[in-house]
Amino acid sequence: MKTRKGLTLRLRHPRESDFSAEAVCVFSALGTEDRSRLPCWDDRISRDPGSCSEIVEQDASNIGVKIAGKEEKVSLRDRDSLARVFQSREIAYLDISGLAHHVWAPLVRVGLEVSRELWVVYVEPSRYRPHPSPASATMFDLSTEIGGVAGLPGFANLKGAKDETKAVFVPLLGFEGMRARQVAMALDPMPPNVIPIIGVPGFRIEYPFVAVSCNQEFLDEYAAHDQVRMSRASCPFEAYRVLEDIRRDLPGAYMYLAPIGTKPQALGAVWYAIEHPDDTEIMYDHPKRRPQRTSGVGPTHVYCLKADGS
Amino acid sequence: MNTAQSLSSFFSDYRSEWEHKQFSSLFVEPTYYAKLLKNRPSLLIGGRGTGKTTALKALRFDALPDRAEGRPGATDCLGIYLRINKNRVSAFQGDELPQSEWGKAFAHYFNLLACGELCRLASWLAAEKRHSSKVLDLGLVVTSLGIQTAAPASPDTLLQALKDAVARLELFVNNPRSVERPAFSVAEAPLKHFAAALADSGLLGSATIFCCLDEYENLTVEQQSIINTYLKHSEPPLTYKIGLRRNGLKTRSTIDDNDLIATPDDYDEIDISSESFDDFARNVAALRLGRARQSGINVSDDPEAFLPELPFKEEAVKLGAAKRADQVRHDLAKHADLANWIAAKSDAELAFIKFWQAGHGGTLEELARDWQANENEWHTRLGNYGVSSLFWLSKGRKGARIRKYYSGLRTFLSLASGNIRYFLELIDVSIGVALDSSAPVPAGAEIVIAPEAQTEAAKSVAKDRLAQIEALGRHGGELRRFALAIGKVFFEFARDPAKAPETNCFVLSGEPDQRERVEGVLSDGVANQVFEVTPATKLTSPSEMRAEEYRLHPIYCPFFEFSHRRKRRATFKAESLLLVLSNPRRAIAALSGKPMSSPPTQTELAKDNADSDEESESDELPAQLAMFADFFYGGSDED
Repeated sequence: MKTRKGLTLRLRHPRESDFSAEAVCVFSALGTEDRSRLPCWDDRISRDPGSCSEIVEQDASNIGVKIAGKEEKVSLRDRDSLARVFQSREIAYLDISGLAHHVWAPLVRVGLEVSRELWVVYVEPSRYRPHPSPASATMFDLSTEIGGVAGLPGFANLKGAKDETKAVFVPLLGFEGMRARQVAMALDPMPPNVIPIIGVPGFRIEYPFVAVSCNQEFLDEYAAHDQVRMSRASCPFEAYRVLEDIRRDLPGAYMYLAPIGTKPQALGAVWYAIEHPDDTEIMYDHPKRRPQRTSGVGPTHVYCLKADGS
Repeated sequence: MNTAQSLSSFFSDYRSEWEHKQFSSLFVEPTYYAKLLKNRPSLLIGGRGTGKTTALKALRFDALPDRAEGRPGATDCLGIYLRINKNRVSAFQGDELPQSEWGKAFAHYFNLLACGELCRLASWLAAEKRHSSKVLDLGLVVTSLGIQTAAPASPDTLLQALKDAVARLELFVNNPRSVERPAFSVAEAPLKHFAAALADSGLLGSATIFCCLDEYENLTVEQQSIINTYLKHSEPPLTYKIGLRRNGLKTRSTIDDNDLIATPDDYDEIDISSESFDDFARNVAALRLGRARQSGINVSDDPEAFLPELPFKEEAVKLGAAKRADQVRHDLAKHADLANWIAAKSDAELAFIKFWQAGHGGTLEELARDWQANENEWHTRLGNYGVSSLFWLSKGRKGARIRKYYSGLRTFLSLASGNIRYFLELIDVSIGVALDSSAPVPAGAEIVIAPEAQTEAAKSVAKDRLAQIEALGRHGGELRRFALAIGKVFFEFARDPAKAPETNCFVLSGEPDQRERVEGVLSDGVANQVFEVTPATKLTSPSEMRAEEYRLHPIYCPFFEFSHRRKRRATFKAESLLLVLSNPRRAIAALSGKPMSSPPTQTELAKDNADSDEESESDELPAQLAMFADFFYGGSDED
């Protein structure tokens, strides 16, 4: 199959040989989730450690990365250091499954700059951890606390909207209903347009209903039920296209993006923000992930964000 | 637009207060406004919804037409307004630069934003054709900002140059190690130069520039130190008005660590919660009703007439006092000598005997004779316990839509408890409920909001506000769990006739480390108006420590159906409250001093569906609380 931008490969049990031998593979160390690290990355380290960049530490400003076996500290706002993670190879695979948003988003930005071919890998979990005593419509127990609304490293937009009265708030909704509300509160007063995006179809057939149910209060409060747009939960390209549609429908609108739904959707939103830096602003709430928040390993998606240098 | 929508439009601006087209015609000066207008720095402290943003925005140069009309007092100040955007100011930190360098970058950013607002003020003053014999010379401002602009700089050209400078700064902030560092302006200097230029030009006249900063709590400690320096060194014709939440001032430091800001030396502190809210809110309601009346809506401009109260005896009857009174009459019928006394008593009073018996024992005959012999004592008792008895009346009234009324202007003021946004929302939702299209107002009739509609609205607002808690601050999830558990406990207390009446406050006991942890969450709750705190009064025993007394914000009371009046307090162990986070069922049992309740079984649910007077746990839980059954009954029986 010819490589092209927008292509998605779906693999049930990815093997090391599924990934180009010439490519650099960027992935996280083993985390508390089963899906955070694919077994095939261990095979890659065994076979060709020089082609691996293993992220062993993630903090607010920096990551610790073993680049070709040698560990170094990389600032998430230092384009040149981030570029070293990609080891000057033309093809790159970036597995975001075990990485926090504030880590993978700057890597995607730099990866798009320095790689001729950039693939992003995402592994679905099998199950989310149910809450033993839910105090709201949020039925899963995914975060221990919310860090607070702040941008992602390297994505600050200090200019803001030229005209706030035309702005639009676009939350990509997930299972934690309070998160959309918390981000929305940082926007007080709310922009006149609120257009939520829900992952349809979801990873599982019932998940879109769960997402609506968990966000019922948010949708009620901002009278946003009839504004909801849908994009496949596992597809960054659809999320990107939906954002383009919103831009077309609201020309000139400054877009506040809250990538708090699935990671593939967040990837689409971040990618969109990278390509539209002047009129988008990412707002993220930096949740602290609960250990073992998911279990099991579902299908692996490999998205081609850049091919043939474009 | 129908009547409901038209009337509602006068109260609906709590949703987007500033964008409201009727802002200037509906603005009411809060009671502290004169203090805010003083020509010296002020900190305006209040929770979300207390009106501080409206007060600060009302100071903006173009906010009120009154300014242009030269209304006395209004032209003495010309405000600029900046909201601290947390998403943006959070970019000025990280390991890439030393903290001091981030501080300089932030001060430069603040200078650029504030000068942008001053440019708009200058343009507005020029457009207002203020008499000025001199030219506005912005040369020093441009130099101090380290930017380039066409000479001579005008407000318009400077504004464009400022936007370019923000864009350059943005590049640097996003990539501080690779992008060339722009020249940073010095803290304070550009604003002082700008204010001086405006004064020298004559455009300012005798007015003082108020630099109004909203949501100051969004700044980091280091960033607040920088702006504190601006405040400390401010001098005419420029001063600062800072809006922030309680506990939002993270430091009193300035850039020079030894030089702290202090009140009253450096600024006035205006705590909205200690200002007279009731008069202000009453005026707000009266003005808006008056405007509605002027627009042709048949409504009284007296808020008390618009939102009638339900007297105690009428409420008791609506809540089922007649049934209880009939039981008393039936049981006492054989005592002929009590017949006249019984005949003179209202249903509410006879039901009260039943309430007293349930809580304190005795036979009905004994109690009736005691009342007959001690009218004054029972009159006092009715005063103390009457409201409490209303909550008890609802026991066993399965399926009743209203189990306690919340109506009347005084009740709404009390539920809002200093929060003007809550107050407007209560009225707005009441209008929506009362004027629902299914029950149109008869032609020509004056619109009055019935107690039923007010109560439904109060419950609806409480439910919505409860839903919001989870999104408030970093402790939102914990706060929601605390609120649900404490609300459930006070709900149970309210229905227990043996409990002290209207127990709805609490103090903490327990180990210092556990108390500290709970107080951390509660403090966040106070800042976000989920809880209220006051120094404890009326110590109940010599061993009781003088501690803070907390209560759930009264806006939640209609949801949990307990009294909104601050009355008596319970003591909660911090350990039990912390248990709410992991095992709410055990925690609620420990807090209420009752055995652990079980979730309703299928048999109980089936019984509930049948018409039975027998009470069960599921029977007691009103529909709105039953929604949280997974929480109330969540957790295991084990420790």
